Amino acid sequence: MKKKIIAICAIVLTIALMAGVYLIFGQKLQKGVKQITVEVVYQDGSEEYKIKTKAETLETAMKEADGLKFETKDGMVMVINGVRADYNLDGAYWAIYVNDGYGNYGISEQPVTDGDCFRFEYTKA
Amino acid sequence: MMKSGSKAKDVAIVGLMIAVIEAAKLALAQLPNIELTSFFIIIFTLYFGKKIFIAIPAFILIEIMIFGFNLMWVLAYVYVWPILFLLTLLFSKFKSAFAMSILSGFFGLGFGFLCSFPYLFISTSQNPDAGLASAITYWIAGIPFDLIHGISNFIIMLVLFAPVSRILEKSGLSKE
Repeated sequence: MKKKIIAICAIVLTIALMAGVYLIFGQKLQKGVKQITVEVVYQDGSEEYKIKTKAETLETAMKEADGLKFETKDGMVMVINGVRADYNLDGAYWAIYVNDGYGNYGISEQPVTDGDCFRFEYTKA
Repeated sequence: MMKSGSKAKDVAIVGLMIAVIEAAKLALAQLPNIELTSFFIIIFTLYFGKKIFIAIPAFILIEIMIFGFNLMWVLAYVYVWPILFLLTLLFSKFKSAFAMSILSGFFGLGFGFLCSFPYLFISTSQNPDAGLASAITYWIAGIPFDLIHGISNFIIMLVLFAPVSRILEKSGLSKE
């Protein structure tokens, strides 16, 4: 019985610790109206979109941008405005930069905060 | 005759294990991080021993055929499921619903951590900046899913261990 209690306590403690790590270090979604910039850098030029949005994630915000069309597959951006960067087919991908730093999340998880600048750069592998 | 009959039986058992694991996975595919793969690998290890170690690579190959090849998760699968097999062997003397639920629960909680190792070393389009930051970010982002995974693994094992064990014992197929 004592061993069972210790085991249960251990698992509950692990759950609590993991939840704590996530709450402290995990991405935080911001509510309210935000002004963000999305830049798309192709091999031969670039386009910029200024978006005013209440969206909490980048994917939702991008859907609101006039003239910005994109397609995703398995959570990854494959096509932007007709330009495909499929790693398996083209040997290229759309690298995501967040405020000039490399983005660590997919667009469906990437939080959006006021003033953020996102850059999608066509990148050869 | 006896030996070839025994080998045929082993081949059939391995095939059965692969089919059960794959069917169960597909059945629950719509429920993120709620899976029966952990349950069956633990149960089959307890009742069929090393034979499950042959089923695991076959299971991974079938996953690749169904879902396509993705270096990160394929690499992770190559060591994550054998780790579960080895942990089950290690704790097999505590063959009870509760003990296996604890094992399965902890495995589910640690699944994302285990799968983060390729992000330390391998650069792909999904992970161009391989390294510690990338692996940690991957793990933290997946914590909500790991929590679901761990809790569901615990409950599934607690509920299904006894009835499935009875079926396996009555079948006469187990190693015991």
